[in-house]
Amino acid sequence: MSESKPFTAQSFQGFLEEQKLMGSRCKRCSAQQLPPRAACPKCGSREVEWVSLIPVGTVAARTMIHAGPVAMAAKCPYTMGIVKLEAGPKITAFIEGGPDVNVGTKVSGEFRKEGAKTQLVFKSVSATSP
Amino acid sequence: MRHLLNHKVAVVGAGMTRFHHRLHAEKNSRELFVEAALEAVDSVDKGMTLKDIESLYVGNFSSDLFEKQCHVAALMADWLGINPVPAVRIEDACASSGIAMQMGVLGIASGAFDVLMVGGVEKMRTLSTEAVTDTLAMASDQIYEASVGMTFPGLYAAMASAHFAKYGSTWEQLCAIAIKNHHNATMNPKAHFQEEIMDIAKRSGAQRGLTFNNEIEFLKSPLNPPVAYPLKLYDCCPVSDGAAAVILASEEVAKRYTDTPILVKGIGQASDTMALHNREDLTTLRATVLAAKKAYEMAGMGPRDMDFAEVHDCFTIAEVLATEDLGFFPKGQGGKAAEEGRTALNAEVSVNPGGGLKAKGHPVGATGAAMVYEVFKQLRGKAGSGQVKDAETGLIHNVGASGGTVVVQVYGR
Repeated sequence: MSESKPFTAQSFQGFLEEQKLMGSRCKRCSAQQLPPRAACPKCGSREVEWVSLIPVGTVAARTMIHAGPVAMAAKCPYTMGIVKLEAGPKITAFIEGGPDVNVGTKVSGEFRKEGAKTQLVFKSVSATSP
Repeated sequence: MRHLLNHKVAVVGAGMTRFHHRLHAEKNSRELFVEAALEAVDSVDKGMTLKDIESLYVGNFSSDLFEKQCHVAALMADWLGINPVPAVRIEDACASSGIAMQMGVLGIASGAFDVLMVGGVEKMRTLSTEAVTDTLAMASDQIYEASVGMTFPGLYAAMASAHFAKYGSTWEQLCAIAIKNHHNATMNPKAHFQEEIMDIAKRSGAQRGLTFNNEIEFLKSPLNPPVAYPLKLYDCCPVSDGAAAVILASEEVAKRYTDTPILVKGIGQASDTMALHNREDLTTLRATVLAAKKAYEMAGMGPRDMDFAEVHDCFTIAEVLATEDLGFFPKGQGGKAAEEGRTALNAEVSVNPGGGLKAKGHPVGATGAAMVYEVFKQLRGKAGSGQVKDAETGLIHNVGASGGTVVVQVYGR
């Protein structure tokens, strides 16, 4: 039962492995949090529940990383951005499409296995369905 | 909330090593710290001995990874020979010694101490550039940013992309900041780079048979490679080794040491979400706005009263955000103001007269204390050709990582 999972990074990653993007929602003020948190940072309530978020939104910020972390050296350059989901919360993630992806570009995410972990990778909506 | 200090606090001495990437290859962080601390003691007008110091606050980001050395506050007190004074290490990423200053000021203001030392140190060039990038990324959210593939330059590049999109600011405006800060650093004998960008363009162009007619041509060339688009190498501060230290005293006790103390007029500190993506607005550092508000209120002053500002330009875009968030220019106008020369030395407000992190260098844990060193020099009219004319009031603005920690302090004569 997803409802019983603790609001931890491990639970969040576990949902990604099941191809689900899960955040938390405050039962009192309805504020949604991504990543999930056990207490609502907006109103302080401890009454929070899991909420499934659709990985569709617009690019709020983006960069192309040329000097990456040691673990990512072989992938450079790659595009990363902050995507604002239609549901409200934002997330840092890979974005495919290089220079064609700009602030304001509509994107949708897919779950992709990178090594041992599943990650969310976004691409332009127009590129996925022309 | 209180907006005043119980006891007024004065800066009576300041010292710093040169910031550099090679010069200190044979020194470790304790040796750099001692060098800066002794210079601070020697700078006291009427004389002081290390034995006068009652407490020590040391800003340091990651000697843990850089030198495999933890517990550095007691270590610095030991090598200064001031045991058994209380010694505290403060780690708040790039704002470590700015926060150490905040703690030191509160230490004097509370009446707990009459005289104390605040400093900062970082010995970074023990690691490769790639390993330094990984170490700095530890100051962002390790789980939800760094391990996803985001870097520290990448976070500021992301903020730049949002600022460009929202306000129409440009990369060429960022170049104006790099050019200005390199120019200011040519007048600062402690700066990492003491060379105009145009001189670097001529020198490095000549080695490759290339000629550049102006800075922008050079900055658009392959000699300025991308780090995290839209930021290129010359948009980023260098990796430097160095240390800085200042001596604080209560206003009363300060008279023993100098007739021209520099006074702490206002202090402010704020925090924000660790991950950039959890912020409502990606084009502002909310913690800067809030820390500045507190510091201005305590000082009874506003942005227009500042003759100069040492702001946290770890990347050129950060200076744009700072000059807006500190209230020098309306939101969205910081880049344009820099391009128009309004932040040049002795223009409307002299921003980073010491060269900023961009050209003065950025040994992470030493930066906040080094900003206070610059303030001490400027307000006492000792900044040589880099002097802000008739400087009476200035501020420091020290940021931890992407704005999770910010400290702003107003100083005056």
